[in-house]
Amino acid sequence: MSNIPDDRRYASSHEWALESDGLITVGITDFAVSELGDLVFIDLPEVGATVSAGESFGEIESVKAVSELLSPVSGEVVEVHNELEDALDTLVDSAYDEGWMIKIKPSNSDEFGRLLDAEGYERQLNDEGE
Amino acid sequence: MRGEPPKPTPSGEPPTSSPSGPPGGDRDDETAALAVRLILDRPRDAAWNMAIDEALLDRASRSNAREVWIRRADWSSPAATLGRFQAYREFEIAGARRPSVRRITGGGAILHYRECTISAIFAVPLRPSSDPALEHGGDSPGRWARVDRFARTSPLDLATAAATVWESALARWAPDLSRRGGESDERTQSSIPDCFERTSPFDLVRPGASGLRKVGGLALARRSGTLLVQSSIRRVPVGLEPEDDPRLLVELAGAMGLEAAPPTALPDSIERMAEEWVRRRYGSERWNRRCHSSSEATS
Repeated sequence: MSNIPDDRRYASSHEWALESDGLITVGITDFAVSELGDLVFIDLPEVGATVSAGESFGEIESVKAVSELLSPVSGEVVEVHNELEDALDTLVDSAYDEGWMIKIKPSNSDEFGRLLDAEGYERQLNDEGE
Repeated sequence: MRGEPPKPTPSGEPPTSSPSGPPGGDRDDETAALAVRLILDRPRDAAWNMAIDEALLDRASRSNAREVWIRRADWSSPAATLGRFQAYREFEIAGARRPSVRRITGGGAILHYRECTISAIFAVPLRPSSDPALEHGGDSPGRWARVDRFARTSPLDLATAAATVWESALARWAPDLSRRGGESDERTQSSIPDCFERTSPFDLVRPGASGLRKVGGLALARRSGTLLVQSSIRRVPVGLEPEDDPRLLVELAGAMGLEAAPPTALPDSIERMAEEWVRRRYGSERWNRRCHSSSEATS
């Protein structure tokens, strides 16, 4: 069973969102990292970019496949973890902490609450046959 | 996303010929038919060939249609395509002096001309587990189950499934062709510019005088509910002549459990969408030469 911290919320597309001091920190779950496999490249947005819930905020390449990273909430990107580009193992070692990707100043306060809680996300993984 | 152009507005309707039912069914209508289209495209330059794949993928991701397109691309002149994150500098060092464009799929550079380039675009249900055709068998359970794999599984499984399909389809020409298999080591391989100099578990290989010889490669891109698989097959070692291409398209569809009408030309509506992608992306030096790693950006 994947590690699923209960201090944050989750998108069905396997991104996590942690609310703190009015910002939403975003990353991908342990399950997503394991599913992606051998990580090769990541492309993250620039500070100041506008992101929308359910829309792409970046891309990640693994095993010859480029997959979208989807934003769990809408808002403005205020911080980007650019060091990840040269340290993708961080995602494997610490997906929920050191592996954070972007911080968003949300523009719609309702979106965060509509994300799955840890229990709901775990249920989704079980439904998907983890 | 950095450098993302505004998306072109879709234009026109999909072609009407489909043995699997009318195109354009609602993705929420879980009984909608799956349309399969085989395209034998005319020679085009690199920017146009990439733009058509992106137009089809974009159309698939924004429409409610359940459809699969399998297109044989052709090249009007020698060209190269670079992987989505591949360093342009590495490619120049490799000495491939020919017009080049950046793909949206992963992997390394491909030198195109007298090889066989096939793209497959899948728009399939986002909630396949609730699809009656899956749960109850439907009229063709194998078809649904196999296509479904492309949308639901991990990239590792996606690449394996795609390579398995290509292996099966090419068996008519090269019965000893197989997937390389083994462990993935893409990060180490990513420093090698030429795709055909890299090794991957998803390579298509044949026995040669000095061991396995890579004769085909695959690269993928996945966007919400849609998948693009681009492939390059070397004709001579596979024994694949250009006149075999219509049959290869049918074999690919068959290997996915799909039935399809004979190949047709690309619909005009897709050409119009692709023209916008040429203008905004693939004809742009900013896209084709963009930097991705900090080491390249600062050198």
